[in-house]
Amino acid sequence: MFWGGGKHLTMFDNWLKTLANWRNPLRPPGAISEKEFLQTCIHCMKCAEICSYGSIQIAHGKAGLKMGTPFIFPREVPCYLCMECPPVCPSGALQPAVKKSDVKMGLAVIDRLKCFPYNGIICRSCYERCPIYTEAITLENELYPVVHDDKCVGCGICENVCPTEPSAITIQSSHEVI
Amino acid sequence: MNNLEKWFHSNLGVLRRISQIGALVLVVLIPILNKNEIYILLGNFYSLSIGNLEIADPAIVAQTILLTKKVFLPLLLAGLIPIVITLFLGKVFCSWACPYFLISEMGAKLRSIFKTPQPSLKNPKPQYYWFIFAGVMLFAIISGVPIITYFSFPGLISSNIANLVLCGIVGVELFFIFVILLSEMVFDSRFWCKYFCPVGAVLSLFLSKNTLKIKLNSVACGNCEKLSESPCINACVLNLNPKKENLYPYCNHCFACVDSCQNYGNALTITFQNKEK
Repeated sequence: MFWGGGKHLTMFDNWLKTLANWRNPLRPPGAISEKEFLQTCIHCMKCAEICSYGSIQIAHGKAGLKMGTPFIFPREVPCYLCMECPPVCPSGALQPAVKKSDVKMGLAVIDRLKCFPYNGIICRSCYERCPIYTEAITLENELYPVVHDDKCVGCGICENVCPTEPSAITIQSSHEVI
Repeated sequence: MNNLEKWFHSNLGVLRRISQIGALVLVVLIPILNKNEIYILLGNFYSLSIGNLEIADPAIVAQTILLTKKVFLPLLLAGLIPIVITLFLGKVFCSWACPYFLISEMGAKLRSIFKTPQPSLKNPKPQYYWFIFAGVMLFAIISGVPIITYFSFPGLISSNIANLVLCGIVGVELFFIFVILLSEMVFDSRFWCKYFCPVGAVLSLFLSKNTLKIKLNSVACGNCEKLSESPCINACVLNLNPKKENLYPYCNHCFACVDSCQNYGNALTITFQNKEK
């Protein structure tokens, strides 16, 4: 409110969020640690080109020195875990994962203040669309979605399908450190 | 010299332009194919894959190995292909395929309308070239920032074209290329390819004694009255003097000088041989 109204505050908030998103990017499946990824990725875009869902986007100026590297924005298009991109990476920045369930792009986190079931509205969007079905997200008491850290691969389908705005379930990238 | 060789020598300029435009078409074609779910061709000038064959920019490969201190074998093998080509044919990638070379050539032509180019009569010392390259590499190693990836113009241009076709976005990186192009127009035409380009520098490391090179037959050379009016010196797109020493590593093997000498005694030829005649 010190900024002269709520509008500016939201803008500032959004800007902070964008900044945070760029800092902890969701990388395509099989990505190595962020620091090594930046030195290893050769910006060849093969992963983005082979992705038939258009999940992988290439970062530009906004991302600073991370420009040219692949990102996934699950709220726009999540990763559907077709696993086509790791084998085409020429530099080893994406390590070919053996199975879908071995992928660790990030971790889904539920904001219980926003999530419908925790607020008395029945919703099973994330539970039903989770590719690691009935394992990564389970329903407690047949009602409340709960994420299991060890099973969740961080593909972002849940974040994509969440009916609340902004999404009550978000992916925290596993590349926390720069 | 047989007929085919003669034809080749006198059409070098046209052949090179066809090759350059072909390379540009390839860059545009790959994302279009990918969009239609044909994945036989992937990538751009950073790294290209044709079926299972991987080709990578050797400058980036060298940088990745130096920065991560790890050798990823498929990447190393991919980087060898351009190096083998360079060992035999020289820096032909630069002048026959690189999109920036084409743009920069057009820029230099535009500049020559406003300002008559001054042909340089002697070549700069090779030390400058290696000094700049060593500086760039040292910076990359010390800072850990993969700087060559941001300054590899063939890769940068082709990846942005691919991104434009795929998602309709281009990056601010192109602005940097624009700035360099503009300063080439203002200060010294072609300075980027001649002195700074890291891709060309890495390729230059592999120029050997038996690499395809320009040979001057001093008997046939008419010396063309005034040195500054020599067609070969005026034809050189990098403003070098093909008749003087220190032509390498600056020369980008475009062979425009050979083409230009066709009607002036044929003193310049392309050869693998090292021996002076």
